[in-house]
Amino acid sequence: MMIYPQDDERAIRQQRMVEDWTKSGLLQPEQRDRMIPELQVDLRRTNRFLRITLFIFGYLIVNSVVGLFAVFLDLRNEAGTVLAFVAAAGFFALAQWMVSRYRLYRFGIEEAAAIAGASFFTVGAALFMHSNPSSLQAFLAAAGGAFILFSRFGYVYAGVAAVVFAAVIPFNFEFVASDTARRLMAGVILLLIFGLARERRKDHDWEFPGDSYGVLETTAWIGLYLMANLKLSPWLSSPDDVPQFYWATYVAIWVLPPIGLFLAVRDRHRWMLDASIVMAIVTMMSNKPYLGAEQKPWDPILFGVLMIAIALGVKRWLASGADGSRRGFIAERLLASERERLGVVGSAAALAPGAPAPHSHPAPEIGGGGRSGGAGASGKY
Amino acid sequence: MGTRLTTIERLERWKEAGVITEAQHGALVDIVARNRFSIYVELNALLYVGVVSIVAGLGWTFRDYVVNLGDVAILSILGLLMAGAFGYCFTKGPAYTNDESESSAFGFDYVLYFACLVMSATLAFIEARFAVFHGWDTHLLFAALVFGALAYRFDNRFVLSLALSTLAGYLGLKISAFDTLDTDRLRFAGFLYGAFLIGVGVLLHQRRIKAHFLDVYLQLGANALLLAAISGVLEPDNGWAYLVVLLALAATSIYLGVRYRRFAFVTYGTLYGYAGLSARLLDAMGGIIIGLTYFIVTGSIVVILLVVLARRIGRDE
Repeated sequence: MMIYPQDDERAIRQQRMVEDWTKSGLLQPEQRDRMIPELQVDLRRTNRFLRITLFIFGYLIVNSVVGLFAVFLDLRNEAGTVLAFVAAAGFFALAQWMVSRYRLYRFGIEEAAAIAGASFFTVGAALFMHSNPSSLQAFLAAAGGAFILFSRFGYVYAGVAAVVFAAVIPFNFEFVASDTARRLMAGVILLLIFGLARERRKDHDWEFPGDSYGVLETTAWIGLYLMANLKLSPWLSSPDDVPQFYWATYVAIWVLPPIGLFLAVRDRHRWMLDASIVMAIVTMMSNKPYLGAEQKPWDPILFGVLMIAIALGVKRWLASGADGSRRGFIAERLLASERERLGVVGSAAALAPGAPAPHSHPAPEIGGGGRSGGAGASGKY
Repeated sequence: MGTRLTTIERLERWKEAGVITEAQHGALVDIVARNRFSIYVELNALLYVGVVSIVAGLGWTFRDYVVNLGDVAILSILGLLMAGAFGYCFTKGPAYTNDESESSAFGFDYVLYFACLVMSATLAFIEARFAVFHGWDTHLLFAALVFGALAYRFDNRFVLSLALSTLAGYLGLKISAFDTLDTDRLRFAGFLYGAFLIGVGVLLHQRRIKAHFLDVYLQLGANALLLAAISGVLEPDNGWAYLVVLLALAATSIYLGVRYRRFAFVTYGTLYGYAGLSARLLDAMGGIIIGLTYFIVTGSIVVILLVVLARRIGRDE
């Protein structure tokens, strides 16, 4: 059961919408001033920067406290497991107390306690009844702990973590040696989560907690794609040489993005739409490695031209529809928040990996030397 | 209140209470119910990926086929692409204004970005093949100046970021370089770069020239200064001097962040300052019990101060 009233969660989201609508010119400031008082909630909040800082220091403190206990008491093995479980229960209770006593909401410090609770539960579970940590028990506990945090406090990132941890569980089955079987089991788990999250999301029709379940639904969908794309996830496990499975995954990586796009367009599901676009791009990039074909230097040019053609084609198609839209889809910006998102990406581009490197100038020669001056073009000539 | 109102129900109430008009109600319901659904960000993302991909492909192709194609052919292709893209921007672009301005056409920003990236590739090619800049990275400075001017002319944040990162390249800076090149010279370049960015940003802001770019300058500048200072804290010779500089910068960042309600700078000042001070003190003290006790005591002090700050002025998100 959620610790925060559902009304408060909805009011907080509606506050954000009203602010966005005002910035977008859809509401006048005087109208905003009449709306916002109705949406006030009795919760203590802060801005995202202080929240992050408080979280970091809170997490540092709780881990240091437990570390100090372990060092002072010289705990080992079973005693260490007990300490981890005690710490888990203690920090979870502390987080609840901070929320109910001080009405903290996404304040950072109570999140640090809650996350520490789940972390120590994972550590305790990994050590429980084992001299060497059990990764299977650890991932089971991590998935369960993260889901409890999501259910109790509504932290979407905890829900996402729960989905990821749940998907990794089959890769820790010692009794299953085949990577194919593990990937299939992980796929079944993710498909199950996808279906459940999708149903829960539809129950609420984009109102809280439907929006949170929409994120979990998308996470499961992305996970499903990652399991299927053997060229993208060799870091997870080494694929078996089973030709039927290999070609089945090749079909899957071409099938999943269009299905995702279809569902996203039908449901107007922003997260699924973005995820499916990325999947489609990754599928195109994975195609040649899958087929064992040689990558040509001009492949990125063709790919880039295709992306631009799609963007311009869709834009033109939408604009030529009645009222500049097709079934409600428009290519124009509706809200100020969309422009802000692009602005953040623009600012962050300065820190992109393609940023120019310090230049040490080697002697010019054919096929070597020199780096570019600008982002993205740092090849040798 | 207390009845689990959906957003659409709230809008209905506001309409009935006369807070919003019928037309506003209709427009907002369309957005909330997703009857109008913008894919503006997605289309822009596709254009960005497309542009970066094309330039990367050009670089790869020319590198692999430089012998077959020859310098003249490669420079001709790059020159034509650049001329076409810049020509489009200058003929179709909006008139210059000191205020924030929207692009004149969909995709315009990416044509400009493409032109800049091709220009980068062209300069790099010329430098690599003919060494006209004699290895002093002058082409980076030239590119940074041109990009900066274009960013202001066309009000493009992507190109401004490109200009600032290229300038960092000119000064021999790159975040990863701090791992291997922790020299005083590099740090001095970092200080110079950070101070220059903040100075230029503030100056242009005061003169109301594209004042909305200020945040890009301040974010990059503050991080460059703090990163340069913290990277020297553990130096055996003059680590304490770097620590003093770091703490002064961190305190300034926190003070100005609080004063102007820009809490990102409070976070930067707190994290960099605490990390630098802790690294130096723990290096001098040693011992796991002292270390853990230090984190508990000092961490608690920081948390108390931040909570007080958050309760007094930290606005709701």
